[in-house]
Amino acid sequence: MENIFFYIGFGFFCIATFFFVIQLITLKDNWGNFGNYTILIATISFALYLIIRGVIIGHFPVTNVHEGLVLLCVLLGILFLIFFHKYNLKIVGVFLAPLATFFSLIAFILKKPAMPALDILQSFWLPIHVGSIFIGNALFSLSFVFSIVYVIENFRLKRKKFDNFGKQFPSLTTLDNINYLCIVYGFPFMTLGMITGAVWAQYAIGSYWNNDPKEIWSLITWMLYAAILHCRLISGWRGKKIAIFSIFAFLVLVFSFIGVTYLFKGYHIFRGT
Amino acid sequence: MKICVVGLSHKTAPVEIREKVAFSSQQKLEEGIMLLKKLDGIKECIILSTCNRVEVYLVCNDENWQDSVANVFSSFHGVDKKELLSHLYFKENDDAIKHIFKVASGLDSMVLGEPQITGQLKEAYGFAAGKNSTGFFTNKLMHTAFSVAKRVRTETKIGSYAVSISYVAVELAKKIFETLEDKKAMLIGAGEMAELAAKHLISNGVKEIIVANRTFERACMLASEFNGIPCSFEEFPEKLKQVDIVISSTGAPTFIITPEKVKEAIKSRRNKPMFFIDIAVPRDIDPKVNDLDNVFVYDIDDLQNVVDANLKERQREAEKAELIINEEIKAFKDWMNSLSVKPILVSLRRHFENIKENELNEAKKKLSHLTEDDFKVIEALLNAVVNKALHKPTIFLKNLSNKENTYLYLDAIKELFDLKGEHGEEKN
Repeated sequence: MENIFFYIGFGFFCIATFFFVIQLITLKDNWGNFGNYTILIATISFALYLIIRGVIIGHFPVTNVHEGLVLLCVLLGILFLIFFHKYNLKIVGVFLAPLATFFSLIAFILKKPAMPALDILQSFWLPIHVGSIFIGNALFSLSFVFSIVYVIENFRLKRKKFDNFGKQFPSLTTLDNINYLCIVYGFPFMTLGMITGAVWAQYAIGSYWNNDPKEIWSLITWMLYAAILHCRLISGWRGKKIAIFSIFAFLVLVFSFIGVTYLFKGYHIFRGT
Repeated sequence: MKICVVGLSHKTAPVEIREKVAFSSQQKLEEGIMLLKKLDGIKECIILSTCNRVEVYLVCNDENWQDSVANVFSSFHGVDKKELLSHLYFKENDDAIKHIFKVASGLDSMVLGEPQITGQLKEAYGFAAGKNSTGFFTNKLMHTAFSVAKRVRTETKIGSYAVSISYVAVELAKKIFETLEDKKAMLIGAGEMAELAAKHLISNGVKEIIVANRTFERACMLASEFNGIPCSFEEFPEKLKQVDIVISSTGAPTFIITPEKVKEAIKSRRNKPMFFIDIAVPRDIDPKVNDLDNVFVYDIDDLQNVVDANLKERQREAEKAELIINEEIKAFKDWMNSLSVKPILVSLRRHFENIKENELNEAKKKLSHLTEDDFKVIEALLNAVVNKALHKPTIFLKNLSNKENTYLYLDAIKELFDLKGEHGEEKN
């Protein structure tokens, strides 16, 4: 039954991508508006999907990568809808919708039936730890999207390409500032997620650091984002360098989230029996 | 009765002719209108005179209007008629309406899609109205023309492409900085185009302009014009650190702004973006400056390329505008055709017949105890009422062609009985 909502959400993220691409090509705003509504529907469906699964297993429903990705898509959708209204940046959907579609696709491939987590993981720390990590992830995803737009726009302006295609996108300064905002807000969430994870591990396993691959890669990602903030605040980096750095950090983030789970063994693999 | 256009424009006449034929003062305009009004068969007229075109819009029923108007033109302006005729164009009916709509929406302008002409046409119309030379047809024609212009402006993107170098520069600045409200600019050297660009920047929010020049007096002079701050030429590399936008147009034979200077500036600005506009030929700014991060350099050719591309876009939009214009021409012609006696008579009668039928049907439902024969009597009665009621108006309309202002009456009847839109079927 809950699967219907997953497929609706997945389908609508695909449709949203299609709408935004058409908007990009035809330069007609109404396609972007369609895309906006489609993302709203997709987000609601995914949220319902998670809620139903939560009810079935009786606790916060993030126990594997599949559910994690769905949660990420929900958060991305919410952030997008907020950003869209606040800064009138619907065109950002052109990059955000495919990203959400990509995450949904992987979630589809890794789809698993709802199953309660190991007893050891069933704790009030789960929503706090996972929740804040994923809010951070969603904000970093947005930073990734804005960075890509920045790099493209920067490239086009340097090559003296200035046309209506480019005019659809926000100014370079706006992109740079929003990218920075996403990291500034995402970073504390990620930090909080890691701290709560450590505290939880201390309670549950008796050690706050266990050399788990996920822990190591998360720390690397955390340090990368800390470095970005440092470069921006202390060294005054702006624009292209920050954008490329953000893209790189996000790719590492995706690896530590998805790749590590399947390449390495560790207790973060979620794969409860 | 037909709508006619006579005129010349930048497309058919050189400026020497245009300036001779221009109605350059209000007095001349008034005299021109008076002369035209005196001509036989000319009912209404409007004169549009701008630096790019002189046109007269007429409503007349004279077959030889072309010749008589050309005579007025040549005698009034003292231009040889033969020479004048080689530049004038004459248009009637559909062609004339199309021309007027195109002019109104800027599709005939020197810079395609330029909105200025709409305002000029409004002025010309207002002036003619003030001199009582407009009338029933020109009023409708002009109001339609203005609404066409508005449709073209809102339904196509013809106005959304900047087609002057200084506007493109401003748009680029906005693309880089988002807002120019808190930005500082520097003008190095002088020149018409550079000053124009500076003016556009100011009108778009730039608060402070530093003016550098080889001669300090000239810098002071320009600075006072822009409410800016003068600075000596030697100081400008130091000032680079404070400004976001640089417009350079000096006569220097070599690059005066080098990557080294900009690197230093951008460093002390903590990488806040800079935008360089190089209007000078030979160029003032080393193109290698563009390779620095957060720095954008556009020279005159880059800007011109954007302008050219935008002009092409405008042409594409103009094709969409043509469709709108054709639509409006058809609507306007339908309106004109509807203004003849026969169709109005038919639709007036149909209007009353419809009322009769409706009321009769209503009554039949309520008066079910009456017989068929009773209803025949009632119908005859209603027919008599309709016929009697329409008798006088019908006679009046049939005799209308003998009266002045036929169209006013016809239009009033259409309005009174809300007969709009029905003429379509009854044209034959």
